[in-house]
Amino acid sequence: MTLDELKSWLSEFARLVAEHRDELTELDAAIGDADHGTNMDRGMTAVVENLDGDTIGAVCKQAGMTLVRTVGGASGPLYGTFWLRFGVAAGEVTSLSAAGLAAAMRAGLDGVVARGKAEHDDKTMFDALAPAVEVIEAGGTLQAAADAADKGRDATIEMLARKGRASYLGERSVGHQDPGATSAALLIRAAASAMT
Amino acid sequence: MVGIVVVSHSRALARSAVELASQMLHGTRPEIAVAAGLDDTTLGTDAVQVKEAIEQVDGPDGVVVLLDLGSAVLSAELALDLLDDTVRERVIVSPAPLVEGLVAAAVTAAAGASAQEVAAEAATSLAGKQAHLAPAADLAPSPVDEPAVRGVFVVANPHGLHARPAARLVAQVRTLDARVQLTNRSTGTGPVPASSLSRVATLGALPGHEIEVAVTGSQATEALEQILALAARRFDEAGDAVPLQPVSTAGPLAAAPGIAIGPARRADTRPPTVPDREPGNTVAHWRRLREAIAAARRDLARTRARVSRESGEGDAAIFDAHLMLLDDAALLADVRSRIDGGAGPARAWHEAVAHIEQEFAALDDPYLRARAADVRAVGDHVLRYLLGAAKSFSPEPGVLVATDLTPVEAAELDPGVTAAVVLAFGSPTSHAAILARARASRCSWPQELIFSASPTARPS
Repeated sequence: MTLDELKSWLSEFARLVAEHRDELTELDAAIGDADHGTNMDRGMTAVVENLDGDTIGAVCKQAGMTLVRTVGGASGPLYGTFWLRFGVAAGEVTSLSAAGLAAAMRAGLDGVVARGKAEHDDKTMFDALAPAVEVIEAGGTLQAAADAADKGRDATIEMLARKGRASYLGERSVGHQDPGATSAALLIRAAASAMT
Repeated sequence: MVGIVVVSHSRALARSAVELASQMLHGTRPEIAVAAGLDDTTLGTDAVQVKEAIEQVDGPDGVVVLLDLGSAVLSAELALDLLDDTVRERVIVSPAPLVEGLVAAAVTAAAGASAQEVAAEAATSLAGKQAHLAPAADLAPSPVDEPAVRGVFVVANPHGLHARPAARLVAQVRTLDARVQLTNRSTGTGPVPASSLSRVATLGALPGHEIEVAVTGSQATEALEQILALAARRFDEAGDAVPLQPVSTAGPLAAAPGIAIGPARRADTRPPTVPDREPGNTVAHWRRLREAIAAARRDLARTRARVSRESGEGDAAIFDAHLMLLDDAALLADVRSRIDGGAGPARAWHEAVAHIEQEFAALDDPYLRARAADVRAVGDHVLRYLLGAAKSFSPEPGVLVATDLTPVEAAELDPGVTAAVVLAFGSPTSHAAILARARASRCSWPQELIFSASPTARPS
């Protein structure tokens, strides 16, 4: 992944989030506080306004801090931590090998886990992100990773929410797709589009 | 003075909460900073804002952070990551409810307390409201026109109908459609709902007292039969005497010098009985367990803060292992898998803790082996919350006689009530002995504590 590809990835993610903003908010309205689409759109719009870092680490740190400051909901610290840890793992470089990308993705995912304390099947963004990272670590294509993320996202429909506000709903959260897993699947889809 | 930070999704909410708390402050007041909302009207939390607010009120006494919900928690934790190490060590993020916690924290901080004490006060700030409202729910009367089936039993338990037999009674009928009222015919007190352990305690049902049971509901007859059978079995309490087995045949060992005289008061410190069946689904089970753990953590934090203040950090550190166990990821994962497998929270917790206790007890290192007692103490503490009996015992004035005491029980002994302690187990160097000795010397008791391994101790 080159520096330009990272910037394309972030821009494409911002575009997909804007495109799916209302869908994300509607999903969140069913089991949360109806702000995921609005929050992520506000955050990613702010991210693409400032993409002028000259290393992968610098761009990721900038993106992470912007998300932390502008998203407002739980996805702020979660996506923010993803990019901050991704950037630290990548370092001050202008391109990443396939192995380097896998390691940075894993670091970002570990950051999300540390921050949100989510596990498999808790009905969170982790359920879409983790299978994608596993595909990338196993040498799979980003396209395959995006498919794995979509599958993980779809699997959240039947899950019982154990984290976040949706957990207040208990059994009533079953039958609804998780908004965080939905935006996380868009994140990986954006990577596949930007780097083919 | 400790600084306070309020994290909320809403700037208006945070400012109003601060205004409310400030009404309680007169004279010197702690610095309170707000990190709330993305701007004056947009709801949300911002980790960088939280970090800056902490830095604004930070000082040598530290900072306590209070929050509302959801992303406020994640943003506050991320803010800790962003802080310098030296500042981070002084910051406590409080799990207290925002409004009650902020009022308690502001008042405690204004009195010059440490960050630990401020956090402990905030964490227990819900107690007043809970105590005020909870009994009302228990007191909901059963419909007056509903016919009740009645029966009478005589209390045969040596300590009367205290919390544990009452809890056993409640558990017995919980799965039936039946509401149970108890009246003490010997004293004329009652009726009280059997579902309220605190109300059952007000019956003052002592050995030999006649208790009338009135049951309503579609399964009333069945419930009454079960209750009377249970009472005949003394509510499944084991025997009428705690087996006081000697740890040494060489006679009693003094843990502190001195002489104390008073009536023997036996403390029943046996672990609570775990019911076979508990109502509710896995989500409710898990939530009940987390609430019990939170309650136990509040007790421990409060005791730890007091011991730290009175006896120093060395003695207080005894509680760190206890607090750590409550956050032990492996233990919680084990409990969770047991709950997912269909066990009730008390049974799941009890079995998972017993498993760890056995692992410790099997170790070669004698110090680590002794930690099995710590595991059991914490386990029982949470278990008592799960079974609705928060305190293991309440000493009466005199000489306390017990098999053993947990560190919390020892640290909470009241010098005005307990003149001396006689234990069958433990040793002069046990945590219980250390904490009770420290308590005695700090409080200038007229008589010293005696710790003794006595094979012959029996209450009068």
